[in-house]
Amino acid sequence: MQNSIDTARKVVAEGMSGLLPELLLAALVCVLLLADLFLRGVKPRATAWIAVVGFVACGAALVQRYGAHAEIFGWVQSDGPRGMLLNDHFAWFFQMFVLAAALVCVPMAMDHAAFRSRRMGEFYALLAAATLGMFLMASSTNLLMAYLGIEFASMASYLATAIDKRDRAGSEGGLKYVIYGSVASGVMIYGISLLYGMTGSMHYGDIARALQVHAATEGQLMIAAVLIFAGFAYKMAAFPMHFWCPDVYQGAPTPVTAFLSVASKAAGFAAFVRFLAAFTAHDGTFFIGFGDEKVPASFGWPVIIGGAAALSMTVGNLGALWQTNVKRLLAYSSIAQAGYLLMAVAVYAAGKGQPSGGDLAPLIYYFVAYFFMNLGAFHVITVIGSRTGATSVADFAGLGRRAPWMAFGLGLCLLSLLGMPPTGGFVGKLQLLSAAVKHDLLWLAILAGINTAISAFYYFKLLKCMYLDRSDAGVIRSGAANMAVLAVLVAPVLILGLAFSPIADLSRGFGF
Amino acid sequence: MDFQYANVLFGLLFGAGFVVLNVSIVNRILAPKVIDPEKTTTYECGEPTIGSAWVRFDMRFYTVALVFLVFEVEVALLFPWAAAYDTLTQAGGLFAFVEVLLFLVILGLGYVYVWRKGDLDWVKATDAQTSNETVGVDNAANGN
Repeated sequence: MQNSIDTARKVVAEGMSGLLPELLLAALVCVLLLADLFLRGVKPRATAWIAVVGFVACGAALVQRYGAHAEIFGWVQSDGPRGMLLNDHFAWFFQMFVLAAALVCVPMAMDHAAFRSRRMGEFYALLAAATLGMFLMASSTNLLMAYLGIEFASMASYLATAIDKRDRAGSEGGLKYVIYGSVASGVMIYGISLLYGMTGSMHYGDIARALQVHAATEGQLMIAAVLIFAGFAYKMAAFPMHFWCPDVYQGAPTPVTAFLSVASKAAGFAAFVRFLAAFTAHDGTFFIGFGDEKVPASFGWPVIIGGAAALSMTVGNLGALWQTNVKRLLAYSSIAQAGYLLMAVAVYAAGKGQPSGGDLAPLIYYFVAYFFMNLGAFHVITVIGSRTGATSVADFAGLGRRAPWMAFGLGLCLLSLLGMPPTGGFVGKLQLLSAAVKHDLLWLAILAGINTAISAFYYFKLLKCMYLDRSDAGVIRSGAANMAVLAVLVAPVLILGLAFSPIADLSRGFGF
Repeated sequence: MDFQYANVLFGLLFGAGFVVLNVSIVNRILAPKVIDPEKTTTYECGEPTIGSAWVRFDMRFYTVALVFLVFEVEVALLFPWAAAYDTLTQAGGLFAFVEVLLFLVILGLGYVYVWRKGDLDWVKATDAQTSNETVGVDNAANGN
């Protein structure tokens, strides 16, 4: 008794010292809830500023943690620690990413009509809670922790989606999100239970070791892995689990959509790559069939993930072709983007099978570009939408004249999403394609190329509407604050496309 | 090696077949059919039933149910903690106490939330049933 309590105290004390950003976020959730309760009638905007201060403080604590490599909240065995969370460079990048997305969503929400008077603070509390869940996802090194992180982030996302009770589309989206999320997490936890039965542990390191020693669990292992992948794919909004995405993205208030499409996706990818790294730790092969046969890497994870990537791109791009609602169009676009990002994961899995090891740099670079181009696009849609009520593509007619800078920003972000030079999306996609070709995934690169051509159709449809279609509507005043946010989001899209080598160098430092 | 699961499969099939056979076929053949109006009425602990079970419940019960659930779980967690408190403090000093205190503070926050939202003001909420939530908070903010 004495011994186990001492151990528990030690584990908690050591864990807490490396957990300052997460603790700050947890405190922020409580403070925001209270602030909303007591300041709602007095100073409705105070909660937003508290959120900004809280996120910045959390960011400062996160910067302090840079370079750490600690596995915390677990137990120690003779051959090393078995933690719940692993704070390393990879986790740091995705945590910073999620935090930055949350910070950008605060001014977007302040500008959005749905948040003007009601439920302000509750939204920011939910934003902070979702951010905390995504922090845990990004650093999870145990399937249980990954699952809890996903659930934590999902709960807050459901509520944020349906935050405006009077908005029927939002409520519908929220309900669909809940139902779909429950199914996905049920499927995932079934896969986890199978894998636990086969390997005897939920810790990634133990799973990797167990798979090396007695690897011959063949088809069952594949079933478990695919079921677990379904849970992650739901968070990434990738192919087999993307059906919730258009309804939720369309129904949710635009700042929530922006946050989900960027932060939620990134956290899903982070958690999945961690899981994948454990699963392919030794040589990237995947076990399939009966007996002790190992199938080479060319028919293992790279193909499975590559297949999901190809289908995500195709389904997303083909679905987007017929959309007239801008948010729905961007939802399908984000499914397609999940496909491109999964391509980077497939390349990583293929690299694991080779002596050079897996390379995560293309994934990281594409995520940096994705952050700016997707948030930039959603920012413009929020600003224009809350001033004119524009929801359909046709409502954006003549935007080039009515709000030239906003139209320019949106245009640049769309070009970047499409992958045209001189934008960050182009460089990101170029790295992805060249990496895919280098790792014998030529078919995937070709499919991505074809998909880029398909996506040009709907991105240019919106561009044409903004610059070529005429409209008699008046000039839209966007406000200085929104212009500043636009500049912060859109300038990097250009910088990432023109002066990419320093960031590409940096992106190599965030792998495992 | 997968064939060792064949007996599980056989067990499943046998179980399913057993249920189907008994419920739908054997039952029809063997069961006596004596029709009696008393047998078709709802059985309610021997008492005659009053009215339909399909009555409307007040929506506000759901808030109460939610709050109840949270605090019931809290109590359920506090019992083993209280029972083991002596051993815990001997071994770990105030560690166990502070941990539970944090837990209680976070749950207390939920209590403050419900109270402030006006979900505990049963009578006042009835007066403003059209938008009970916002009115409750606005009244509280105005000091009514």
